[in-house]
Amino acid sequence: MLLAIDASDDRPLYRQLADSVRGAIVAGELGPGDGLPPTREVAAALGVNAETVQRAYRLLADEAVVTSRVGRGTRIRDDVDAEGLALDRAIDDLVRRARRLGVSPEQLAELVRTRRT
Amino acid sequence: MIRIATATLAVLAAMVAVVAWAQPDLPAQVATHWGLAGVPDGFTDSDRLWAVLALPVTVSLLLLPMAALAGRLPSGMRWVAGLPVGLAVGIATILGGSILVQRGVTDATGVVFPGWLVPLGVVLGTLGVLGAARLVPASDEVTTTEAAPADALRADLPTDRVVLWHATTPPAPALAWLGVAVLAIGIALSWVVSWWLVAVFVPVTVLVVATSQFDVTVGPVGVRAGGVLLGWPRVSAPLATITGADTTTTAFRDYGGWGLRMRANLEELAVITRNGPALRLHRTDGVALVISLDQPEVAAAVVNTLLDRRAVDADA
Repeated sequence: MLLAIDASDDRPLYRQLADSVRGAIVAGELGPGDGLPPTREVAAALGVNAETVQRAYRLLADEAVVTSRVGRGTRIRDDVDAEGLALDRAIDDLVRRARRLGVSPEQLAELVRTRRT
Repeated sequence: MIRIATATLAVLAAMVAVVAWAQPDLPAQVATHWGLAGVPDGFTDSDRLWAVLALPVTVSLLLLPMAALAGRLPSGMRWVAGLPVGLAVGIATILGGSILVQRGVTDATGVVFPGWLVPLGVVLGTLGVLGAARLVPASDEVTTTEAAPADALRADLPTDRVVLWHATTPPAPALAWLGVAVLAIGIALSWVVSWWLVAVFVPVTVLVVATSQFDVTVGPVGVRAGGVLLGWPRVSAPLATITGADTTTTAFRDYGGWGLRMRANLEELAVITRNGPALRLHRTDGVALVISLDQPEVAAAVVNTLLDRRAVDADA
């Protein structure tokens, strides 16, 4: 399993880490039931605090992407919505691009709405 | 090496000295061999006890060459260097203790083996291993910022991302079942024979189960393999000590078993859970690290690509 963490953006590291897991699911690198590496291993391999990794995993658990069980570690949920995650990420990407061009989210929403009708 | 040897000899000498001190108070026939039920079944003349002490002393001394490996062990494995001292402490506690309790006794046939010496010996021995490992001066690792060899495998990684690769070694179910079997036998024997056998069987079970599968992580810091029980035992190779990665095929006969293995000449340290494909990391100190993986070519490609990046970063 390969996680690619976008260190160039200015979001907190745990969000970037969580995002890389979502990205791996969308890319098919991770599927339902697959295990995530133990937090201490991730922390040591990246040279970050274990708390940062735990926070990323908690965020993913809150979003119903992963589930943690004692003894089995953290795994991708069987009912994970990969299509939904892909859409989410596409929207995030769209918002970022629009912002770079000076288009606000409101203006972007308007553009999307007029495109649909 | 010298510190470990000195510590081992000091522990053994202390045991011999204490036994010599106690010798006048010991029964003429000292119980020196015990049945599993804790009843003595072998006796030695009290003035010939040195013959009983000679064997464990020899075994401890034979382990001393392990101390020579001390400076070359990767981080997370340094405790291996402390084994000769730990063994000497364990032996001194159990053997010395079982002789000492016979002070003032006239007839050793009635003596029962003091079972508490076994857990005490295991605990003190473990502390001895860990304590002695700290005596070993941490050698400075030779670091490199070279790129991977030109003909090595490479991966197509996004250049602007921090990359983390993870896999688990193929599980060794035989090893896990062996652990369960050892524990079952241990519990049965402890129940029927002597409770202190638990102190022997539980650590063995933990070791067997812990080395039945490893989490393997490759990241910007380096390559790590951590056992399934809370990441122990752990072997890690900082990226700066890796010169290149390729794949190899492991066979049981090359390592004499599975789990955490060291080849006698220390050309290789291996985390082996199955015969078959494995990742091989070449390191600056000449000790290769071999890790069982289902797709070692992917891991090798990721490592080599990280090495290339390191070289670029060093140039910048």
